[in-house]
Amino acid sequence: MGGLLVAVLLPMAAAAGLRFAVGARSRAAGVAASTVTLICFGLVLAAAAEHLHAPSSVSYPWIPQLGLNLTLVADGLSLLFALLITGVGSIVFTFATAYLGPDENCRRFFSYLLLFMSAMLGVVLSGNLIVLFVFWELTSVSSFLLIGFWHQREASRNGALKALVVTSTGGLAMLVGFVMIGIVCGSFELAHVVEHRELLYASPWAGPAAFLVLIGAMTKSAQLPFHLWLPSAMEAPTPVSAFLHAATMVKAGLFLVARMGPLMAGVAIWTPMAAGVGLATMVWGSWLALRQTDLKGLLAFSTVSQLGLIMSLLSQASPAATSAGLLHLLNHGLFKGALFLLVGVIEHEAHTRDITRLGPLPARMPRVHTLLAIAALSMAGVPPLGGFVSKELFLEWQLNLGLFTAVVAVVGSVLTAAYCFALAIGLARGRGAPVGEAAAAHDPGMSLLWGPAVLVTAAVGLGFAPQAMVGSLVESATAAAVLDAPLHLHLALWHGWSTTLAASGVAITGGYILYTFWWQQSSIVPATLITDRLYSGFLVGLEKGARAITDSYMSGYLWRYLVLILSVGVTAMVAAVVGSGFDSPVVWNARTTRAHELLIIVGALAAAVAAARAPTRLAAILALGANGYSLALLFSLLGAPDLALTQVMVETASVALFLAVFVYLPPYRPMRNKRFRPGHMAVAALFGFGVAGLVYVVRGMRVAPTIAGHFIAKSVPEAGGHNIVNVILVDFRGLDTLGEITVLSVAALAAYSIVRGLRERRADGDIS
Amino acid sequence: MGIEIPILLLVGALLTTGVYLVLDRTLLRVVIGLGLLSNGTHLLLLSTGGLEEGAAPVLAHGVSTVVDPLPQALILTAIVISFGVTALLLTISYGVYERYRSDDLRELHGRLDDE
Repeated sequence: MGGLLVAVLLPMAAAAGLRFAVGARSRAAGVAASTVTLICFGLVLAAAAEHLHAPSSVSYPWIPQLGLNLTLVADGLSLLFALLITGVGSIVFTFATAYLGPDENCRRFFSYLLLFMSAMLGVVLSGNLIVLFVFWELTSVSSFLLIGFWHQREASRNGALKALVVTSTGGLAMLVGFVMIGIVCGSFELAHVVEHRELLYASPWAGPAAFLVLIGAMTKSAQLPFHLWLPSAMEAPTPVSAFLHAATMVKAGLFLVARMGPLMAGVAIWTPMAAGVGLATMVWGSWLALRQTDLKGLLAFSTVSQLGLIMSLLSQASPAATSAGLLHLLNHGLFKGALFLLVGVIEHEAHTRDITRLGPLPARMPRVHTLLAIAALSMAGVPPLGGFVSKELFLEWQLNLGLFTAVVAVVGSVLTAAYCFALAIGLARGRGAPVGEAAAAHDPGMSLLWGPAVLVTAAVGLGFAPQAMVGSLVESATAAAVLDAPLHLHLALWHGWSTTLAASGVAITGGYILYTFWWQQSSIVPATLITDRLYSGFLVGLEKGARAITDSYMSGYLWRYLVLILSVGVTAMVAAVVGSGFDSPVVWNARTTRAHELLIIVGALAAAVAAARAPTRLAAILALGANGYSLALLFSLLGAPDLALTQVMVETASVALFLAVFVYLPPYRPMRNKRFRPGHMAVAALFGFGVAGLVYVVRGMRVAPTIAGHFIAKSVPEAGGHNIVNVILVDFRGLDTLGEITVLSVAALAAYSIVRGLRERRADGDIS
Repeated sequence: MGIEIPILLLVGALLTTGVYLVLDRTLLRVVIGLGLLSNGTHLLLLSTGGLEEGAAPVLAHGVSTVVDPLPQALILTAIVISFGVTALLLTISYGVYERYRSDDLRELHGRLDDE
């Protein structure tokens, strides 16, 4: 089991280590990454030899307080996926080393690819739902980075964003489902959850949890209506498309369906929803694939369709259907991986992947075309290739299920066969003569061909000897995905004369007819996806909506901001004051105001009003000064001589400063400013008297005695000062005063730099 | 201890005129408004500490009861800080006028983008 932990963590460590080991454009990055992948493949093989028939798991505490453990499960299902990931990975990594141009940043590319492989292995090996989610999102992130690898192209950036938005939204839905399951069953450990699944069935959360988990699976595996991101993801370099968007990452959703099968098969909506979506996706995806002229676009929609086919099988919770689905999943990994790599080769050599521009291929690229034709025919389900075996099992299952599913399955198979013939035969006959550089294309060397060749050989082998090659693997994986499955799997090429064989015949013949009389005859126009338009509309709407909301309050006018902010405060204050009923819990012996104090209060009031209504700037400044001096007088009468002194000094300095600036300012324009604004006045009055009312209401609510006694008692003995306020400022709270001095210094520096900057501009003649 | 209604009314009036002026279009009136706002706030702080009969908080011979010194220390700090704020704002208004030849916030709206 330790080997599997190494297999998960080693690529991640290598991804980080590449940064220090090799140069940015060095091919050594590819060699190192391929070596790491091969090591992982070896580790997984060793684990498979040990655990295929003896499943086990191991748990490393991660955040045990939250029930999070890095639990690794080695059973048939996880090993099947791990073998697919590391096996196809080994081929894709070595292929990419030869494929990437000398100007590409190989180091970055392989770092992302290694990070993805770590994440993907984490997904399939994890036995803890939350850890599975973390790795799941990590695959979305690394996929984002890889699709956007050519980030200077806008289409790449948009495709990357679309994939991230769709898959991570689904991931979040899945997380919510996981949390429901975890709370109901009392643990996030998968084994524990499956053991206590009756708790989930008995709770009202079973249906919502199943729905949400399926949304996660459907977004990741590009099922209707979330299939829009996969075609856009084709902006990625072709090895990435082969690895992530054909062989592995898009299968994470299928993996999830298989992994959650033992738990979710007992929930009513699980099988109908997943199987229905799967079949619909299969038919619609193959119809869309048939109408593509871009080879990668065709393969993308074909992947969507094939994933739907497998989804419809894996969600059945039946040993027969699940084993058929898993076998087709392996087949698809092989032939689709090969097809993507071969299309990459074609683009590499011909500089186009447009069917209408390539012309007949066999004359110029015989080897490439042979491999491509075999892989495509395997996808079509033509005997004696691997695809035939699993396609037969698929048709057999759907025929037994009922007439409706049988018809849908056959229609989907006809469409599938048609686009496969378009690849195998259409590229041989060509749609017109080759255009431009495509005319001079030729077969590449073995460095680019051996990878696809290995995959195609395996795909052929799966047709002749499926039981010998993957029989026990599929059997063990099925046992892990279906509860109490009595299973005696026998995979074989020949099942005897049966209705299934007839259905296969119909599919292939129908596909050939459709290809000959429709695809080859009519001009193909790729349609825009409705979901794509919805997605773009949503993005544009989001941006516009956000701008409209922001613009509605970010006006750039000081008073509008302040009115908004103050209104909120005023509402809260008025509510508090009115809610209190003006009733104070404590009755105070208020000091009566003396006559001369009243006089000063009236004076201060008059000065404030004068400051607001003054016709000239000078009068306003003087009124503000008068208000300040009145306050100083009031302070001195209320037993605060220090405040009075400070106020007088500060007020004097302020007035002097105002007058100094006064000289430079433009005419006061009192007419405009005297215009009375009742709205502003209302906000101001509500605020001012709201605060006063609040103070009136809370005036008795002292909850603790004053700490003044402490200062009064300690002032002389500890600080040696008789003026208590002074002692507090320079001694007891000396640090506060230091802070105050700092604030003043910063203000002074800022003021100085403003004035100095102006002076320099004036010297430069920028301003008069 | 207790709150005197006339002083509370003065606080309300100072805050009202202060806010009204801060909402104005002319920069100088905004600065004057902030001055009135801080004056009102200081008086508010003093009165929430409780106004009572008593000598100034200076310990001399024969003084037995003094008023609470703590709010006074707070307010003293606040007065000085608000002076710093006023000085900086005045300098900024001066700078704005020197550059844009206007002290009207409506006229100044969006002008920063001009340069």
